[in-house]
Amino acid sequence: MTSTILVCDDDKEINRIITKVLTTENYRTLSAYDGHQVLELAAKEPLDLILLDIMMPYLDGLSALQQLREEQNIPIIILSAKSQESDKVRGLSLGADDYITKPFSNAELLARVKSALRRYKTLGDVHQQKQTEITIGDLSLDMLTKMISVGGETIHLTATEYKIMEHLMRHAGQVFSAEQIYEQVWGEPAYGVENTVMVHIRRIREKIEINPKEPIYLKVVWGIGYKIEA
Amino acid sequence: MATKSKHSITLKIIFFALVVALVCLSYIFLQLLFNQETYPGEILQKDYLQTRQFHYVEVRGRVDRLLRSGEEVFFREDGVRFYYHDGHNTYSNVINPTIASFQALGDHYYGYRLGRFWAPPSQLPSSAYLVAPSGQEYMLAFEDTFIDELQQKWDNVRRKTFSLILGISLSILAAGLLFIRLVYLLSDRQEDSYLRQLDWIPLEFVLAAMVFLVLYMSYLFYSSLQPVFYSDLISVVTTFLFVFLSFSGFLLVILTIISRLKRDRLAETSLIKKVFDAFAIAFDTVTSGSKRLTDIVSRRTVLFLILLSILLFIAHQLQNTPEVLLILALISVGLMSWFIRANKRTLSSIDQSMDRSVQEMLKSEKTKVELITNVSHDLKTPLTSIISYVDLLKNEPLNEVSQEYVEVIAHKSSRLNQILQDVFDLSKASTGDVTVKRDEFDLRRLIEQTVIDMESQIESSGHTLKLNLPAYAVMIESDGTRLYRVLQNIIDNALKYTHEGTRIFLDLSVNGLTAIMVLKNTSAYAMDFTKENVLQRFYRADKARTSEGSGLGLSIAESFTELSGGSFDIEIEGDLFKVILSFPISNRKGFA
Repeated sequence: MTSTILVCDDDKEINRIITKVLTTENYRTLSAYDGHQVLELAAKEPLDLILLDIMMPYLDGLSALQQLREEQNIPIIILSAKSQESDKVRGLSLGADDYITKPFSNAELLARVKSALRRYKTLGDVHQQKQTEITIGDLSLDMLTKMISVGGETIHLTATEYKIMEHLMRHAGQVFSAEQIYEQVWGEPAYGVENTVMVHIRRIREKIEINPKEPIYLKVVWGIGYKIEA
Repeated sequence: MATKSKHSITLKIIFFALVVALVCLSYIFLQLLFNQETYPGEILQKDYLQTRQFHYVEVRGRVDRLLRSGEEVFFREDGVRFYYHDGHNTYSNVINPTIASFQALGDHYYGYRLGRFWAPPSQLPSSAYLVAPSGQEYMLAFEDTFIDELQQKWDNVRRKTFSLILGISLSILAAGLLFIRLVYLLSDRQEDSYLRQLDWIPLEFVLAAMVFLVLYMSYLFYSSLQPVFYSDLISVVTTFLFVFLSFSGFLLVILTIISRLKRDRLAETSLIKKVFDAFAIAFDTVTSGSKRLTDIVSRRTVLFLILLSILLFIAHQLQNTPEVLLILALISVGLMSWFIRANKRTLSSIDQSMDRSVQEMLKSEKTKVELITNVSHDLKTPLTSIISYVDLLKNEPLNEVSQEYVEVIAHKSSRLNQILQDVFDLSKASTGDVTVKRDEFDLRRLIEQTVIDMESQIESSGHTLKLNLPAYAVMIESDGTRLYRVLQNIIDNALKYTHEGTRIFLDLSVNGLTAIMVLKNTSAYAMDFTKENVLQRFYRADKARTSEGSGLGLSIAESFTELSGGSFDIEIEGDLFKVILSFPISNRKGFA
């Protein structure tokens, strides 16, 4: 079944290109150009996801988001040129599922849309999660098959990379220094081998992140170490 | 009338000289007049015999000499007969000096004999003659021819005196008229400039000069009244020169005072008024306005100190009179309370205006950030379309050339995006409108993480980055994310501008309580710029600006370093370019 996505941006060109990108991937799309249209369409149509711009005429994106959240639980991704952390925090706290800053690459947009849809659709399956699986957001790790998938897509990791991921995902939210990771994964005392760990982590990031420059799963805590966001 | 002013200048100079000359002339006349040795007021008396001069000079003068000099007296004047008896001897140029014989000589006999005065009945001003000491007698008689001669002389003196008086009156009159004319000429506003040049001389000095000159001229006048004076030609000439000079000065003084009066600037040029004005501001309690409040305070302080020193001086001089000291103490208490209260008012208004300007500054900074935010938003919206469409275009079947063009567009649009982000970051950072998260971490680790993060970039640049880190942890308290950006920027900069075949060095060391990180590279360009240039926004080492980057990298690095609690410095030594970052070592823990 194809998902229906509402694309809302007052800039016609941006609206058109997003529509184009999404339809190539076989999504059904609807377009809105201001906040009121979003509310109207959301009330009429069965939607699976909304891409919402903030700066729009008549009714801005954040106000529309608030009103939508009173009735709907569907994923909403904010698209905005406002790139400040405070803007992101505000959007997310008002109920957005994700925040994409303009300008964005088509690939990133698609990846995020897919990820949001997947989370929404598999929401009901959480209780079925196997004991041998660790799932954090889109990331899931199967300890039996030693496989990691991001948004359903299997990622090919080397054995060491897998061990590092397993350790970090078991202790999601906790920050580990390179030495700690080394000692845990390699099982021997770390003497000047931090670089090895760091290089491995960089490679993992390149494999699992949509945009390795702005990691969302495996985060660097500068000057301290690394962690998986819980 | 362009020529008028020229004429007036010459005219004025001539007038000025004339006035001075005429006054000097009348001075000379006056000198001559006083040297006549006539009793003033007797000039109108035609008959010499009726003058006091005749009685005092001709008669009494001779009697005086007769009595004083005793036997040595011999009147060798023709027409003067005398008789003198000193109690023993008799001296006379008359054969039989009886009273009658003197009386017989004519109507001009004067004497003291037999205990009484003898004189023609019509001419006896008693005070004019002397009573001879006891036993002495005298008698004097003028022949008519002698009297005629005296009368003739007197007539000459009168003529001369009249002409002198006339001369004095005329020259003073002329000088006065010329002076009035001169003042009238100077009333022409444009022509006043010569006298205006004297305005800088304070009025008090002008007045003092005037008093001095008047006194000096009077002194010159009186000192030259002695007849002896005229025997010395040099002193006569110099005296007149001095008279000339001092009167010129005097005239200038008068003219400048008149000029100031006319322009209503008399008070303004007064030194006392200036001093007063300078301190009057000290009493100003106006809370706002164009006056510099700090100026008011400083002047008030100076005034206060001066007044206090005066009080102290008086107190010192009068330390033996307790009543006065009490009054002085009261005055100084009053003075101090005035000083403190007035300063408090002024300072509070300074505070208020400072608050106001800070508020305004904050407001304008906020507006600036808002403006930049809006502009960057407005630029990003079309950029989003460009990047996305180029992205789509890449997937279209294009010929090789088109493919290449699309790559260029893609590359440049992402660079544009980067510049935009940099501008935005820098404006936020430099207005201080950012939140800084301070955590304690190992700077050494952060350097390693960053370098590994940038590994592919470093590799593709073809340069080698040589790390030199200490074996122990270097704990600092800072914002890791921002510091990562700083490192990224300075390494980026080094990669861009390092000379082919040379290495880039990144050293970390600890000096006392400071962690010092130095990034050194050998420049590929001749560095004909300064540290200030480098930190200037949008400054680029290659003037052609062909290389990548916004030119904001180092500015951002500087702002971010300072925001996260470090200091940022650049050193240029020949071809060696050094970026030096320093951070205080965190004191929460020691070295790990």
